[in-house]
Amino acid sequence: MFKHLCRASAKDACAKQELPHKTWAQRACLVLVLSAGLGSISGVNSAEPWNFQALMQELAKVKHTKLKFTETKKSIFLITNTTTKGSIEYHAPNFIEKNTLSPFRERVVIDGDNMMLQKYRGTGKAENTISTQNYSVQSHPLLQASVDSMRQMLSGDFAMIDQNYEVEMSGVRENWALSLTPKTPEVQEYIERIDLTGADAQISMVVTIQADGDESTLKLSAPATAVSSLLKRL
Amino acid sequence: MNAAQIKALALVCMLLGSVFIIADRFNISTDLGTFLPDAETKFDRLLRHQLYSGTSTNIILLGFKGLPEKQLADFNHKISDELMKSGLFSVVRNNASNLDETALNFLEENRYLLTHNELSEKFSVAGLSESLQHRIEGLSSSTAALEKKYLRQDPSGEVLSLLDEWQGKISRHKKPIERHGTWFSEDLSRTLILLEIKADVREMTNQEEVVHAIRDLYKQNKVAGVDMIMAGPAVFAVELSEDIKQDLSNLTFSAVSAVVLFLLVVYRSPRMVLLVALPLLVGVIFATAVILLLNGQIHGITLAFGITLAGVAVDYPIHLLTGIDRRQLRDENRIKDVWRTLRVGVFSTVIAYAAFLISGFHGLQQLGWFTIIGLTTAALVSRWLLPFLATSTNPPLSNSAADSTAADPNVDPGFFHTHLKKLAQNAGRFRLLVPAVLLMTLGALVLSPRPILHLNVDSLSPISEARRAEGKMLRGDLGFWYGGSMMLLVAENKQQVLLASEKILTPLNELVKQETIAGFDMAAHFLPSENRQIRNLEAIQDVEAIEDNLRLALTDLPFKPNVFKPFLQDLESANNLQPITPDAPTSQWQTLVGNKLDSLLFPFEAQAAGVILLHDVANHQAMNEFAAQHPELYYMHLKSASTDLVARSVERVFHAIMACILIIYIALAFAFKCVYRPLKVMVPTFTAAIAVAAILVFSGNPLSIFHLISLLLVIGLGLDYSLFFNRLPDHPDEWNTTFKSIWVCGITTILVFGILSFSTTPPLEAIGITVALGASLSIVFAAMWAATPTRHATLAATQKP
Repeated sequence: MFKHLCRASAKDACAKQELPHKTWAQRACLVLVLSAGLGSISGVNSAEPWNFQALMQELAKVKHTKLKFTETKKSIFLITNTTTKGSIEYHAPNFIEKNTLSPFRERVVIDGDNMMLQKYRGTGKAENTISTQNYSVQSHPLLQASVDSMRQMLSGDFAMIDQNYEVEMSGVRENWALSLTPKTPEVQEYIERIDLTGADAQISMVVTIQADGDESTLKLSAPATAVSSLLKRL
Repeated sequence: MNAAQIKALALVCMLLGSVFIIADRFNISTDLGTFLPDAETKFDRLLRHQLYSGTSTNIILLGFKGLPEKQLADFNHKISDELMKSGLFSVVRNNASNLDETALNFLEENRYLLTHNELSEKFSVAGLSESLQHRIEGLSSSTAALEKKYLRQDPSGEVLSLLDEWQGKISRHKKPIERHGTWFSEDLSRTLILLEIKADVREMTNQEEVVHAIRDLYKQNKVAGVDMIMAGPAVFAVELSEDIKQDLSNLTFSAVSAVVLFLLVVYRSPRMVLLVALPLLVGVIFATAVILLLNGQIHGITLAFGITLAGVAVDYPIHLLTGIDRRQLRDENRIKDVWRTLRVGVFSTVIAYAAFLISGFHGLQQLGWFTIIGLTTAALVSRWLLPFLATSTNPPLSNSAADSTAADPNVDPGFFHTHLKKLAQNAGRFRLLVPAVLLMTLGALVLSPRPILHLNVDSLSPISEARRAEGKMLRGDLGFWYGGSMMLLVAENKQQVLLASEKILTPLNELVKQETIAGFDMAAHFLPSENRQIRNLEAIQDVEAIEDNLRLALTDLPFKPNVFKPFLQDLESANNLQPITPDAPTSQWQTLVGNKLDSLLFPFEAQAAGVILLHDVANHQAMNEFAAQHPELYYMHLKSASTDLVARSVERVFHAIMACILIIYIALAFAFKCVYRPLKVMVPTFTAAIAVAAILVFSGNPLSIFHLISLLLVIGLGLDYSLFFNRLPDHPDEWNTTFKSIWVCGITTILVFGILSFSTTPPLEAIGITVALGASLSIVFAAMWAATPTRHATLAATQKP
């Protein structure tokens, strides 16, 4: 019975671009069952093979996440690495917000085709938005490449990721590692490889190696307790 | 050959000459500026320039709506590609995200000339240190890719700050929204394309070619549900000329056929119809020739309005030829008798049109000359050529039904005539209604709080309000400045304007910060003055010193060695740069700013003028004060300034009308050799004019300059009717003929102008309504006022055999 439910929802997840609302209720039921018996999830699912497709299915179930991030960038121009901190929020399927809090403030909101970039000056009460700029994602190839890959990952779009990247997957459900190498020249121009690690549907680290040698390491962690995070999944 | 024949021959020669001139040099112009008020002060002239030619005349905006966002964007991309391929446009843009490669290279190469920063400060140790801190932050931000691109050449970030100024927006004030790679309106219901016409837009044919090409492309690619909105000076000009052409063909056709049909019914003689049309035709041909001789070209509106206004001339042969009914054609005395009355009418109408000559509108002056020449010629043709033509025809109209009616006065003269006669003879009972209406309407107009005059400059525009609103909407979508307030700056030359602009840059930015204004655009944003460019060139002369500063600034910063080598190399080559002047002919420069700069900085009467476009002024008082502190600046709230300009013109027209009425009175007093009688003639006319004004005002149409001018025509027409009505009691035996000529004239005029009131061009519509209404009222009031009960009795007596 449970297996049957799980398959149905996975199929739906794959077809969700076309039919986003079809089995909302069904999926909600599934997530309820999953979260109610947290201990048993891995037990039940361990029977399923853990592979890229399975990971994508898991990711597709996540409708909303908010995570803290620490991003370390290695630049070919700098001796030392730079580190920024803040939060990332995702709403399926199209909304991503990256809010940098330190050492400077910057907010990037990608909603559908629109990317808004806000820069701030000052801190605390004296803080002011100094510029807000909006971009059409589709107008900027580089932006489109990175936004698409990010969104396809987060929404568990197996077909698109499979089409655009060479995928290597290793590890187990509780500790997996994924390596994406772009296939298309447009993306190859900017990105050499993206390495992700995580557990279940939780991505814990994204390492982006750029074509020019720069590297970015994005560490993600849940901001609150496991229970509230699970509740948020609903 | 007798005197009449000589005169007739002279007219024929003139006519032939005119036809030759028209054939030789017919040239029609459509420049709307001709029909706008002349300006008095320097700033008036600038305002006019700015209002009508200052805004880039080669820009066309396209909007598409009616489909979901993504489909609209796809459609936009498709049309944009096609438009690009057509080769008709120098610019086809549907988003502002990417500067093209050449433009970007130009910016990069000339960054030290175009920058707004003082390079001596930027390249000091402190300046460089601050810039480098920003670069480190940039490298760790979301825009790292962009930062990296320019980091090595341009550590002070000149290209990035220039891009901020140049990229992605139409005005500095607002960056339009983009979706799926195309511009969208704020509510995402419309997607937009900006076009710049490549060819010279002063040529009407070029404008037409482009507009037709866009329409064709749209038709070929149209998908179900999509709607296109087109706006821009060229589009409006083409639409206007099409509308006028269509009005001319449709309305002229309807008017001509209606009048011909009417005259046929009345006179039952095709020859009569031809004779009636002849004076007007000759008048129009002659007037056209004279205007062409004097001006070299005739305005389309002059021709359209002129023919309409000269339409009164149809009355002249009617008055003269209706007399033919009694076989009196050969009787010079009878013609002379009618001519005496007609002459007063023609003279007073011509005097009325003379008001056009002092209206202060170049186009109206042309129209005035056209009408005066046309009417005078038509009157002369009626007087000298028509009797000659009519008598020389063999047999002389004796077969015509009209003639046979007249031959026997006892034969029923027609359904119209009988009924109208009854009405006219009874009209005298309501005599006192005329002064009552005059007092009532005059009182209502004076006491009413409604605005009597339409002083908005829009009232002069021949473009419909709806289309103007659409244009404004598309401009607003893209963040174009669309009216409101601006500041004007006049100086010796363009460099002086740029210098003066730079001086007020800081205080203006301060005003933005205080939220007095939301933003501003000026030429100096795109092009620093030569002084500043030279100053910056001097600041980068000593590359070694800058290298030392850089070394000091880099201490304690985590940059790798030699990262900024390209920066120092670029500085070396930048030393060979020459300052960029406003008229720099390079093509990259043109692509980058051409249009934008030309509309903000332009030569003006041997000097140069700069325009500072202000966005959303919150406090006009503060801006006035700001301008008062800077003597070279002139602050202008466009709407009130243009209203002021129009108000002055309307005032002039109003004075002209008053002067006309006085002149008409004096002329009539001389003609009648009596001080009282002219007043009697003028009362019904004046009543009709005031009543029409009241009807217009109270139906929510404040009087525009076109209404006022039409009222002048009403006065001219009304005088004619009134004069002939007054003639009735003096010539009881001619009552039938004269009365017939009056109502034929009246109905002809009402038909022509009634049809004109269906025009889609607002000024033509205004003229049509005003004159049709005015002519009707004039005739009614003239009938009431002229036929006194006692005279009515005598008339009735004479009617009985």
